[in-house]
Amino acid sequence: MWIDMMYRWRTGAIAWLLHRLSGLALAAYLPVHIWVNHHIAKSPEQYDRVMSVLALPVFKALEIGLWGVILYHTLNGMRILLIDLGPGVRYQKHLFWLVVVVGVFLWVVGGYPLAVSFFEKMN
Amino acid sequence: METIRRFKSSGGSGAVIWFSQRITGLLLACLLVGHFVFQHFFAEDRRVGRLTYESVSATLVDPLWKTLEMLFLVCALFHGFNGLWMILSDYVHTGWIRVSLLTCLCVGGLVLFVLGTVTILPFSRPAG
Repeated sequence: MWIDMMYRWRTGAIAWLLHRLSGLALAAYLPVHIWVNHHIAKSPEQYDRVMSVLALPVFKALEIGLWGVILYHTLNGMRILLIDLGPGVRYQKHLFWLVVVVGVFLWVVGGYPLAVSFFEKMN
Repeated sequence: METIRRFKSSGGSGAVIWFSQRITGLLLACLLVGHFVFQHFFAEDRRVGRLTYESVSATLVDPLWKTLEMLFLVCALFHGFNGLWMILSDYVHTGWIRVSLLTCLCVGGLVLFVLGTVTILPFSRPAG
């Protein structure tokens, strides 16, 4: 059994673990998201009440995090696809760092408006 | 050898699960990012700084958005629950537990599919 655990935590293993964790986080978020949005089918008042709760700073911060989790899982998913197709195998490490760089860039671009509204609510 | 036999007993080749996860993943790369950008960023009512019935219902009455959101719902649920099944398959190898877990996942996925569908498809704004 212990011999199974002999692999070292290199780039590929870290990418794999992060993919699993981000996937689990998104799988946990999806049912909540579907349930919350179901309120729009009930009445405008109920929907607006739920949305005003979600406008609290804590949920804004979580949404910024969510955007990052989505980006990592999406971009690393593309990396996995390239590895599965063949040519990506040789460059899997480089591809991981590409995922990180592109991911951080898009996280900042998309996270900025969310952060602005987060700080507006804090004041 | 024992290890290999143990893993082989966990089911078929897994090719269908593997392939469908790639296809839905590829679709989600477009659908999910599109959904997030339009429904989380742009749909926010800037006057009040949050999503409102007014701003979200405006997109949800559009048949094109209904189609995209339904496609998103199906792909996201399939990809999510298929992914959970892949993770569970890595750790659970006992036949009856696997069947029970798979049943739970299928029922859960179906319930969420119905809940999402009744939210999206029949949606219309109340008159007045």
